[in-house]
Amino acid sequence: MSTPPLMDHAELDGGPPRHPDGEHVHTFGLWLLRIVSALVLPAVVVVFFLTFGFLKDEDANKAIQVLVAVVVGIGGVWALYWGMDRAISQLPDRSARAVRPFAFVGPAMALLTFYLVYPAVNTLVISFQDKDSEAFVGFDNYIRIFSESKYLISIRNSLVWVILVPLLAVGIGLAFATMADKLSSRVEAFTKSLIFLPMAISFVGAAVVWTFVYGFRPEGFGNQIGVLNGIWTGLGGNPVNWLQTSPWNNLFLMIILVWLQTGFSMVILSSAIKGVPEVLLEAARIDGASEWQAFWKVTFPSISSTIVVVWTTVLITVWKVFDIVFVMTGGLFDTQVIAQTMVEEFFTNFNFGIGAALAVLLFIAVIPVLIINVNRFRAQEATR
Amino acid sequence: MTATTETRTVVPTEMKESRFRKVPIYLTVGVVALLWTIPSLGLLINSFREPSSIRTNGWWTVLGDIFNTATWSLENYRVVLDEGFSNAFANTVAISIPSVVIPITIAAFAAYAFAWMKFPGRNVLFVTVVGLMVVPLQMALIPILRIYTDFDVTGTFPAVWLAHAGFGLPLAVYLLRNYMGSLPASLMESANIDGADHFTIFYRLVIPLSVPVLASFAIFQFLWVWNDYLVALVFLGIDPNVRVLTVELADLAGRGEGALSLLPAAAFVTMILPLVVFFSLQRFFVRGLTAGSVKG
Amino acid sequence: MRKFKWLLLLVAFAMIVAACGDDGGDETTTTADAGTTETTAGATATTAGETATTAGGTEALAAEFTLFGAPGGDEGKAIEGFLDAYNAATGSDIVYTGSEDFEAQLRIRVEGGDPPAVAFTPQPASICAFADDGVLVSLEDMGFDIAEMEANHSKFWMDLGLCADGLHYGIPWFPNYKSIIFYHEPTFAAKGYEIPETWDDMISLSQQIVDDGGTPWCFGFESGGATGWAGTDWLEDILVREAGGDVYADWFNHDIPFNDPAVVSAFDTFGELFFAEGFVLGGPENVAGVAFGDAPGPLFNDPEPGCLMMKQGSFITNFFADTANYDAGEESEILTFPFPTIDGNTGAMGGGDTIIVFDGAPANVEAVKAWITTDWQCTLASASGGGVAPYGGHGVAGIERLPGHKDADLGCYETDQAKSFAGAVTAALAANSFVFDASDLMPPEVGQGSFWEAMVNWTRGTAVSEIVDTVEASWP
Repeated sequence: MSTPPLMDHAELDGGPPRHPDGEHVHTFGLWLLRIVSALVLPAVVVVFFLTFGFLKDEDANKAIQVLVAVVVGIGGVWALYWGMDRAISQLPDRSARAVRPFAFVGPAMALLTFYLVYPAVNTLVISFQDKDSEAFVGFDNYIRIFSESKYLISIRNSLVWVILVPLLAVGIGLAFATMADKLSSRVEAFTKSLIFLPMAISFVGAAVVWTFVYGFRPEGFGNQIGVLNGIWTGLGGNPVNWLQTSPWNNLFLMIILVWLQTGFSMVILSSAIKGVPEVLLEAARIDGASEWQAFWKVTFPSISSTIVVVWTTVLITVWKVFDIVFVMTGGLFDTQVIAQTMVEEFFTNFNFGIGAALAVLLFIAVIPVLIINVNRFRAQEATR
Repeated sequence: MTATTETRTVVPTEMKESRFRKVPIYLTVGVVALLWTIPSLGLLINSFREPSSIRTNGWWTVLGDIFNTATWSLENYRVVLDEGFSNAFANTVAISIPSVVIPITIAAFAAYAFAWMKFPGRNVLFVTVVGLMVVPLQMALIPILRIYTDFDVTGTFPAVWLAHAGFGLPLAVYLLRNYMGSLPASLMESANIDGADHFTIFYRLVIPLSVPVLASFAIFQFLWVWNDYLVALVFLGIDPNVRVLTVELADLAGRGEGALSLLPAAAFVTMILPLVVFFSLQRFFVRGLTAGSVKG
Repeated sequence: MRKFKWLLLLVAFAMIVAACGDDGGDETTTTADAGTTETTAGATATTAGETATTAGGTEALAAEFTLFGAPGGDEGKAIEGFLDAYNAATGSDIVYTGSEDFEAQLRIRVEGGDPPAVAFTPQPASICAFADDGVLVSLEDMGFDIAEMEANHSKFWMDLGLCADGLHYGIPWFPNYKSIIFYHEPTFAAKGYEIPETWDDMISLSQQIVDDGGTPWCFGFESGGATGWAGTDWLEDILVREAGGDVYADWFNHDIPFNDPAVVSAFDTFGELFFAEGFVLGGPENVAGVAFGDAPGPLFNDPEPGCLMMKQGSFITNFFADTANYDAGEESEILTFPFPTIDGNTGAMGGGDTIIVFDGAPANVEAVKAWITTDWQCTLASASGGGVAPYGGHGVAGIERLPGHKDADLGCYETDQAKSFAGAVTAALAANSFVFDASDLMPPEVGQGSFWEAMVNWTRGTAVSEIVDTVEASWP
């Protein structure tokens, strides 16, 4: 039972006893181990069942429920994997080697199949059916999406969103991270926290926040309660109905999302910038490069792969956003976007066919972005 | 604004330019940070104002008069907590914790297999997982709800946990595999030579080394689950006993102008825990997300 | 070979444990079942006729279910207060759940196969959609007397729940009333303005107010994602008077197109008032930006009201206290007059909450049958029930609900205003002249979409012909 030296540090974590195959282990211990491992799988199932029954009980104490849930959630899942691993160890070496990876990815795949693959396939089928999913209509729903102005406007708006929001969120995030990097660390940490703060706000909460920014009251209906009109009228202007003035209202809605997402890109880019070796920058400076040139020649290329990751994540978020539009304008005043139109078709109009077709459109449109990311992965794999 | 005159090669902080030259940077950073704070600041101020004055004039009008105690009031918070927000707060905690823990564990095993085990179909499976990141959640809700109803689990916490676990998995696997794949191969090989099997390597070596990415995903997933509206709305159903904060907030917002005075306080009640979690785990967040993608 | 033996052992263990596990599973199932059985037992017991003596001395079944509806806040509390009274009287355990997302939630629950036992919907258009899905219990099956129902609650309202199979599915409960105009009484008295009887009177009164240096009207169509709905009410009140009830019914049933000349004419009539110089506070182009709840605000301005008239449903009084310049008791200065006649025609336009039953257990049916009687409507009517309610009021001050029964006792109401609304509504129910807000009866693509949008575009000067054509094109 000698411990490989490399794993010394892990010993501190005090996990369960290790159990490498065969000879090293005491026979009695081996027996016990095997009995236990054989019991684990069914036991996990039983515990889950019991827990489930308990958790369905609405009268039970909520704190205890949470505690049980956490214990079963962590313990049960670990026991499940451990049991599977032990069971596989009983197989002949070759089969064990072939089967084990599937035990590791299996539960994840099962969950994904149920929660995402099945609904995705289901949606694809529905998208070729009529309003009530009763008859197949071929490509009718798709034809409607690409011919009716209501849908075309939402496609147009979504495209603008998906270009502008990541550009602004990543651009501002990058600029801010670069500049804050040059300030004292305390100022840097403080200002960065302020930028990140909106990340913690739900879309519903954000809508409330921005009511007090974009709020509008025309002449005669009292004082302004939105800060933007407060400033505007303070400067002598007439109150402006920001959210109902097309096409600018789209921009004002986008600003909300930029506000929410910039913190995310800023934090990640900031740490990428700090990862750029000082030696390289110093070398550039000695060569006579200005800070501006040093940034574009050294920093930017070094963090380009991080920028891709951040861009992708923000882009996917933007593409799927519906809450902001749904709450603030409901898609009126030419502010509709694809995801919000989709939700409206599903939950207001109960037109499942169109809703599903819009969902499929959302999915297909992101495929190019996926390909870029997968290629990046392959490259990472190759250099390893 | 150049640093060419600087020739000392000492620690980077010392190398920063003189404060005087950095005034424009301070100004820009300050202005942007201020702009970013104003919306939340308005909300914070309004949440502590008398209900009638929230509707009468803008929050900035109190700035000239901040020491006047008559301006301030805790009434909104009292009403909001009475209105069922305290119950909703407990529910949201009960939903969030397992919804974070379960997918992390499952994703960690899968990510390890994707990064360090060889098996047929590995790449196809992984690409599929990444691809599932873009499946719009909204279209998954009704089909799953039907199955849930068949098994009579609608309105239960486990139903929501597993749903959040399922929806959060693609990102989790993507981030975790990204990170685990960047761990040095030599480490794994030497452990293997020492006779440790995959399970041992996983929980003895990889998990401890992956704490930053686990923590960062935990924050991500926590923020997402905490702020989720749709999943809770659909799977928890109409029973007010199991309502979560966002649903409660949306309900309040839907009541129209009458609730305008309560909304700021309500919104702050929903934000408080995520803020605490974020600021206490911020360090990990950054480390975990970047370690995989940033290399020199 | 050894490994193989171990595998066998493993399987054996797994089976034993699985067997135990099954026991355990059964155990949990039984416990879970016990819970269900308990409720079923309760239900069975009630079906078997577990009885409780009501205050009135009659025997009533005890019901146990969740009632689902839209009202929240104080309005929701009033429903709860009503149910408390019913539960106390019958030994029932009925719980109310209100959600602002009522429509979507109800649809989600039904789609998911998990509907509430009983719900009341403000959107009658959804009733037949549910009935067609086969999830509702018809009034015929529950043993309602349709002819009596039509006499008491109006044929118009009953017909809203009349679906393709020829059966009725909607039970009229309580209406709200929209054909009213609020006005600032002290100013009217001081300036000697008279309550307008006809549309033309109302236009000339408005002009007179402008000539006197005042602003006659407050409008507010903003409502977040539902912006525009407040405008549809105006158009409907005009249309039902100009073209009559039959055309009105043809219109929401789409038997005439949305761009019919009658609709265009109604828009034009509305425009005489809406676009006249100086008639609208803040200007017509800003109306879509004023929150509907803010619209009554200027009526309370001091020392002079910002405008003198505003049209909105009776529910708007619940918003008065939330407006900026409201002072306690000031609502007594704001009175109402009925929407004036056009070409001598009148009408009562409003909406209403209609009960739909998903679970027709006898106790549920009995509860619903009780709620629509005048006795229980009196409890729902006001906080005190006006002192005449046999089961008391609902106990929430300031909330009054109009009666859905033609014989309702006006004494159930506390305020004169509510009494006058209730009087108008009961008369209209008796005469079958109470019509519903047409936008609630149109398909959601129109009634909750293009129609709202049309009103918004109209306030901003888009040509009427273009507007009605757009809505017509959007009709599914």
